[in-house]
Amino acid sequence: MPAAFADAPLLLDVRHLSVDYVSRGQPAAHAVDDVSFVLREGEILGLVGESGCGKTTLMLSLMRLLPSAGRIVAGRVDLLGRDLLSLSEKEIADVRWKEMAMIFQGAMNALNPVRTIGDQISEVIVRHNIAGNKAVLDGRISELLELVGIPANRKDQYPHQYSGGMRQRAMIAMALACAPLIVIADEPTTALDVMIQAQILELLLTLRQKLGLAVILVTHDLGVVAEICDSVLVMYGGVTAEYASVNTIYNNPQHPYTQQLLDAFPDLSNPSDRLTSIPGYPPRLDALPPGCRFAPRCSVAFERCHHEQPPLYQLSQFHLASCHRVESE
Amino acid sequence: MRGHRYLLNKIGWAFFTIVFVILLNFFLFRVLPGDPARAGLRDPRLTVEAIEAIRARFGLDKPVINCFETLNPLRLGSCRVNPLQTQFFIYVGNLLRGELGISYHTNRPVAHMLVERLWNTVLLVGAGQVLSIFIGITLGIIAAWKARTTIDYTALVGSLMAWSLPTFWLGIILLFIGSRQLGLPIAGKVTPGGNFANMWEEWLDIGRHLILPTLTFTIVFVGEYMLIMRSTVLDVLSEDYILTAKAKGLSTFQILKDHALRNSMLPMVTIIALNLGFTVAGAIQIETVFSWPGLGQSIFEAVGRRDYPMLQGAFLLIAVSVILANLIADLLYSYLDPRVRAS
Ligand SMILES: Nc1ncnc2c1ncn2[C@@H]1O[C@H](COP(=O)(O)OP(=O)(O)O)[C@@H](O)[C@H]1O
Ligand SMILES: [Mg+2]
Repeated sequence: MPAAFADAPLLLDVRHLSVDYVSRGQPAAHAVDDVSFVLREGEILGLVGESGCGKTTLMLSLMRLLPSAGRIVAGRVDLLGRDLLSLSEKEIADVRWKEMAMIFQGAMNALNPVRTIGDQISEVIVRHNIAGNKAVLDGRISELLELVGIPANRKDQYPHQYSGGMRQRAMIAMALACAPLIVIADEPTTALDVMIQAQILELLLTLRQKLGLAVILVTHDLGVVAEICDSVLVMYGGVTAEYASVNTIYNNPQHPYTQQLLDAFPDLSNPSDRLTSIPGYPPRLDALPPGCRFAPRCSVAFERCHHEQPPLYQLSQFHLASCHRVESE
Repeated sequence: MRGHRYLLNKIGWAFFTIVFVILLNFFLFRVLPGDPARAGLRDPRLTVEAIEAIRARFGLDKPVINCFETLNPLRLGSCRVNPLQTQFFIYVGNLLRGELGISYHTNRPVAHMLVERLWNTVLLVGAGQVLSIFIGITLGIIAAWKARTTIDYTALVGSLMAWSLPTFWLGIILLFIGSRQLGLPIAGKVTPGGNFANMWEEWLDIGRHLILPTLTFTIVFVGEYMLIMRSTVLDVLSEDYILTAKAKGLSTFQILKDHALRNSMLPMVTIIALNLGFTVAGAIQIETVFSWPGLGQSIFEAVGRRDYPMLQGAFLLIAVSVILANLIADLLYSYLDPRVRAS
């Protein structure tokens, strides 16, 4: 835990969460397997990993929004001490957006194309009974849009009249509409160009400062993580590879996957460095290797790695890694 | 501003299409063989003068258009006649005054005959369309929301069956059951020679006559609406903004109503408009089975009698309704989908 957050109030406590995708006539795909993490007030947690490693699945299961094939098979999700997984459908619907809002991958289609931006923001405010009357509601919408840098007079426009970056800003404004404790941003900048990406991330940082927001930022861009995150959860093939503060991850990475991700990440301060990428492909979830899931691609794997799955070793107070080499050291 | 351009553009196209249809409709019927005078040629009682009188009465003594005396058989004529004294321009002139010619069969103005029949058809088709659209859309949404459950499969199989039933056959079966089991009237719009104490009773009688044809109509169309609605809603439900709506904590009903329905209505609007346009004529089979005095029935009869002016009028009416229905669909579409207005 970074020092600044060690004693901030605990918002979200996810313990041993496992999610399967089931489909008839096929073995269950273990998309998320025994993942635990915490989120404290004002913290920005980076969730990194190659695409297909279960990041979106993990985030959707926090809000119980998995597609019909998805099943939460084990674990707990405690939000301020309340177990979200045992709530009724109606109770969880009240929690959604009010306490935990989500910005989805690809803002292009996350907004309804035939309704105005203002209308879509007002809808959620009305749903959770935040604003008393029409005037307050209108004021709130203008305030939200201006907070993310959109002129309030554009609230009656439709998504197609916005640029990609503005659509993502509008999504952020909508996410803030009910003043949630937590905002989950699932690859919020993937489809945007670098300039706009930087602006959006800057905005998230400002908002965290202004509103005391806690953010889970899903990304596969380690540069982004270094810039704005406090702690990092590295996932590989549905399991936790390494979980630590951002400093530890960059300065003392223990899992070979983390190390290789960092190597693959171009160092902007030294452009002559050759860009390396990790050879091989992530494992198929319905045909996982018997031992460590990363072993087939790991350059330092030994005998044990291929038939025994490593547990999550605690290296220091806030540094966890699932690698056999950690134990033998 | 852009919205106006879109509107004018669409109205302009509708106008040109109608002009084209008028041309096509006119010449098509000149190319078809037979006219009342020639039918009369075989009747030995008709004198040459009488035949000429008939031709003059229907305007057939004039050239079809400059350079063409008649089109079938193709006979060329002088090109130097006054265009206003040709059949074509007389026809267009009459059209502009709302006249569609005189029926070969009844000798009455076609426009009057069509208007009478049109209202009966609108009554039948209107009732059937409203019912089938409403039921079809509701069933489609429910089936899509409950996709791959028993409810869905039941609605799916039922709709497929309804869609594939031959209209004629279904009408006869319903007519049979309705009249035997429920004592419903089997033909016409009102009980012949019926004596009604007041208007209310007359309407009640018409209502009883409407039940069976409307039911047939509804069953025939509900399947199509349901199936199309189901697949559109299924597409829409897999969109990202539906996930956003769920994440916002909206209820199933709100998601369906405020996010799925409007987006799914886009393709439905086009199909409904097209059907509405066509069913001015499309009720031919049902009107025939139930002897409903509508447009379809009169078209059916006019074909048998080679009553060209009547057919020509009816075709024009149908074409214009289809074009107008399309125009309305376009305008409605642009209202429902802001992206259309922009492009
Ligand atoms: N609806 C689904 N049904 C079955 N498998 C799925 C579904 N959604 C995702 N998966 C599988 O779960 C794994 C994790 O996917 P996802 O959570 O989207 O990964 P990420 O967000 O890290 O790219 C992938 O292997 C993917 O194929
Ligand atoms: Mg993802």
